[in-house]
This record gives sequence, C-alpha cells and structure tokens, in this order.
Amino acid sequence: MGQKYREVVSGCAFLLLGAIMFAASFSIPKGAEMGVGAGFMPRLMSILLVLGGLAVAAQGWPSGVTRLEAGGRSGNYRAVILSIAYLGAFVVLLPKFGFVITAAAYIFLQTILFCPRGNRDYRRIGIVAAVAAVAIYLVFAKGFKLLLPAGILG
Amino acid sequence: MISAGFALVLNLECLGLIGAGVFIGIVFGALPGLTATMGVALCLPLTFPLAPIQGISLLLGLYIGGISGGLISAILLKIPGTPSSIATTFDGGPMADKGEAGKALSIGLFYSFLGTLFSIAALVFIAPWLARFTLRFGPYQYFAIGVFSLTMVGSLVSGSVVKGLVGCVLGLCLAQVGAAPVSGALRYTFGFHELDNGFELLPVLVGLFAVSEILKAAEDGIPETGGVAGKHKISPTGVTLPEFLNQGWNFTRSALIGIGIGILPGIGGGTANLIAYAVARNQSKYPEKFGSGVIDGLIASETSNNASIGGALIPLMTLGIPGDTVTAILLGGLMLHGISTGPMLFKTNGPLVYGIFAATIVATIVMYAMEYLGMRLFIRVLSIKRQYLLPVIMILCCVGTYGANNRVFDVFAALLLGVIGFLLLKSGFSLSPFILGFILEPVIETNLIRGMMFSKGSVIPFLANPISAVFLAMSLLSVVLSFRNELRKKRFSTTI
Repeated sequence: MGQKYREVVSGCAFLLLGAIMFAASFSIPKGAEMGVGAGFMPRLMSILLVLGGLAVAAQGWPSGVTRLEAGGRSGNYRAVILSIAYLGAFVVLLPKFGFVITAAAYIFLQTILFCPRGNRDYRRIGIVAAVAAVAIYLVFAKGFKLLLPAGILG
Repeated sequence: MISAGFALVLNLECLGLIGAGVFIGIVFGALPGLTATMGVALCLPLTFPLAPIQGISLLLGLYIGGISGGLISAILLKIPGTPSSIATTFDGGPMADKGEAGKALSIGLFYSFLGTLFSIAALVFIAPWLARFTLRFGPYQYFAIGVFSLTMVGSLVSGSVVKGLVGCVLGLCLAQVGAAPVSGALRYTFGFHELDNGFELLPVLVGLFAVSEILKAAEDGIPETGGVAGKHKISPTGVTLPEFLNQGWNFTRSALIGIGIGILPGIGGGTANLIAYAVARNQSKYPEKFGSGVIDGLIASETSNNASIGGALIPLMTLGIPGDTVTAILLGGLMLHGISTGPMLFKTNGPLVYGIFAATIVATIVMYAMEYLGMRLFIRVLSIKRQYLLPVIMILCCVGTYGANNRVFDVFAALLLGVIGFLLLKSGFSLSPFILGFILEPVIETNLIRGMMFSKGSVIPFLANPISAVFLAMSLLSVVLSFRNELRKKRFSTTI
C-alpha cells in the first residue's frame, strides 16, 4: 500500500473517530464546575480531529486514488499478526497460568518468530526463555516485592 | 554553607547509598518499561530506617541514575528507557545504525553530566528568585505554556505539520478517557471501570515505543547480524574540541529549556527533551539532517532532560511544589522524615538543604563515572542478538506496566496502543506529538477550566495577560512558519 493511499485511509479513520467522539461527548455529564463543562475539551478535540482527518486525507488524495505509489517492499504481515496474537495470549493467560509459564511461552514463541526458518535452535531458545522468565520473576517478585501473578505454580 | 553540605554527604554510608541508588537508577532507566519514578517509588520504603540525608541521598542517586540511564536503550535499541529519552532515539538510534554507537553513548553521557551540573548550579544560585517568578504563574500562563509546548513539537518534530498536529490531538483525545479534571465526570469509559482513572503514562509509553518496535521488527525481520554487536570506542566526552565549541549554544539553550520546563509543575524531562530537540532542529543550519544521526539532536535531548532534574528540584525545595512525578515521591520521602519543604526550609534546615545540593552533585559525578566505566557492560548486555533480546525486553516492559498498578488491563492497554502506534508509524506519523499531547492534556485542560472559571467564561484574559499572550503568539507563529517552510519545500521539490 503506497504512503499516499495510507494517508487517505488514516485521514478517513480520524474523521470517523472524531465524529464518533463528537457524538459520544454529548453523553458526558457537565459536572459541577462553572463555565465550560467536562464535555468542552472532548468536543473541541473531536472537531479538531475531524478537521485534521480531512487535512490528512486531502494530502494523499490527488495521487492517492488515481495513482498508487510504487516503491517500498511489502512487509511480513503474517509475523505482525502472530506477534499481536502472542502478546494478546500472554495478556489473557497471565492471570490463570501465572507469570513464569506465560512469560516463558511468549519469549519462546516470539523468538522463534524472529529467527529465520533454517536457523532456529529450539533447545537453546527454550533454555533462554525459561531462564529469562524465572530470573525476571525472582528479581521483581522476590527482590522488589512486585506482586506478579503466580498462577498455577502458586 | 555548601561545605557543611558536603560534610554531611562525604562519608561511607552516604557515598555507598548514592552509589547503590545511581546503579539501581541506571538499571531502571536503561530497561524500557521500568522508569526512574518506579525505581524511586520501590526504594522509598528502604529509606524509613535511614537518617534524612541518607534516605534523600539514596533517592537522589536513583533519580539521577534513572533519568540518564534511559539514553542507553534509546541509542542501542531505539526504545526510550524513560519518557525523558524519547528524543534521544531520533538521532542516537541512527548513529548506532551507522556504527557510531560508542560515540553516541559517550556524547549522551557527557552532556547528561554537563546538563545535570548546569541545572544544579541554577538550583544553588538562582533557585529562590526563579521560584518566586514562576509563583506568579496562574492558569492563563500554564495553559499557554502547554499549548506552546504542544505546537512546537507538533509542528517541528514530525516533518509534516498536519500530521504532527493531528498526532497532538490524538494524544489529547486519549488523555481525556476517564475522570475529567476538576469535575471528575467520567468520559469515554463506555461502562468499563478499568477506564475510570484513564490510561496511565507507562502503558502508553510501552505501547507506543516498545510494542510498536516489536511489531516493526516482526514486519521487517531482524538480520542475523542485528543487535549492536561490534567494537564501540567509548571516550570521556565523545566530541572533539571544535565540536564541543560548536555545540556551546545548543548545549546552553537546551539546558535552559530543561531547567525552565523542570521548574513548571507537572511538566518534566518527558516534555523538555522533545521541546529542546524541536528548537535545536528549528534553529539548525541543516534541519533536514535531523533524524539521520546528527550530534546536535542527541546533545539537545540529553542536556535538556538532565537539566530538568535541577529544574524540578527548584520548586520542590523553595516552594514545596514537586516539578514532576519523581520529585513528588521525593517530597513524600522528605515528609516521611518530618521535613517540610518550602520557603522556610532554607531557614529551619539550612545544612540539610546544602546537604541535598551536595548529594545531587556527588550523585551526578558517580553517575558519570559508573556509566562511563560500565558502558562496555551495558553495550555487551544490549549486544545480545535482537531476536533474543526483544522478547525479553517486551516481558520486562510488561512487568513494569503490570507492576505499577497490579492490573492486567494496563498490559492490554499497552498492546492496544502498540498496534495503534505501529499503524501510525506505517502511515508516516511521528509518535512524539502523540505522547506529548497525552502528557500535557491534564495541564492544558485543568488550566483552561480554572482560567475560564476565574474569568467567568471569557477567553480575553488568556490573550490579555502578557506572559500567556507571548506564548500563544509564539504557538501560532511556530505553526504558521512551519506550514510556510513545508509549502516552500514542496514547491522546491516539484520544480526540480
């Protein structure tokens, strides 16, 4: 996707977001203060966001729709989506399985994703993931007394 | 009096505590996701059994180590260790890419050291006068300063004025989630109680700069030779004598910006480094080179963020008002030891005040020595292949994000904001205006509401007050001039 086309898409997204925020700002209670209410700044910012979205879209419009920019190689979006999924799974599973297990699993999977296919030393990555997760847990949970979820390891 | 202060600090206990504080501070500052604020907060209970000067020495060591430690990961990983080192990534990162990581680290360290010393001199000599002057600032002036800071960074840093200003607005919008300032009315929470207090700064920072870096690395792939391995020549200053002389004005201006912003309550090093960078770029003879690895940007950022330390201590010591989050915890530490800061502190606790000044100077020297001697070790740790390092750093970020409030929601927020940050980067937006908008929203909105209450709904006093009028005029001017420069560049590029 060319940069100009992205500007049109992001501009439209800001426009839509601004419109939703503007509509939602009317449900904000005015609050107790005098003069401007709690909805004043959100309303002002949503208007600015709509205007900004229009300006960004306009920047990309002339060449964006008629001529997509060539250039720029396409990235590995599969890896991006998998990275988001791994982090999402880490967040969801953290309270249930605890820090050590979820952190070790995340480090293992993310490192495998970063390593090229022919160069994946699973045993080494597994050891790094386990040692790193345990070391971080010991330093912060035991050393600095941070309350990290212990999960099923209790 | 200053010699009495040094007499309080120059003993084994205090020196040991300063050394320990600086070391822990550097570690917290260097690791993305862990901040100086968190380091000081976690170590605050350790000061309970200590004498006041000993406890404060430990906390000051943490503060100074934490702020300067952020430059290490900002340069080597392009992930700012603290909000104070966001602008350090702009030119420090490209310098490391060009094989000049050693030079970048040396320069960053040297100017962190000089910036802190400069601000301590300001703290000792001009603190009372400066504090009295800023005491006159009311909502009109704070509102104008907030708008000025935002427009400066929005219009100068990103390369596109429209995108920079939209980035600022996005940051302002994000900060509006949760309880409104003054009235406490809930906004954009959509029934989720986790959003009642809004988004914390740490998840936003981790999301925008660490998660997005992970996603960028996933998209682009990491070359096998990745990381920062290689030989790095570390020198005490990083600059030659002609370079040092050339950077004299850049250093002085950035230090003054750091001190000035540090003094203002609620605005600290996180804002100072971005403003100093924007001003350095605007006043440079070669602004187009900023972002490609010029030392000017690195010097502006590292000088100003460390200069904000002395600046933030000025209102704390003279008025009892903390200049940023770390000094707010320092204030708590002083109060725990039965010391009330404010104008009377100099009369009632004179030796302790000068002891604090002496501890700040000693901590700065220890920070410089420790980072200089330990730089090879830091480089070695961060030279581990990025394939292995980035996931571990991500987990450290999650620990910091979770540990601040013990909420999984904050880690989820960091992930969500990371995806947003990644998409913004892909669309050619800079993340600095976004984060600055987020940081400054409470300052701008609170003072706008208070100002409107004072003026009974009129905006005239915002424009009639000389100080706020000057700042608002400069805001408008910076936007107009940046638009003009951008149009000129576009015309020039279409004609060739």
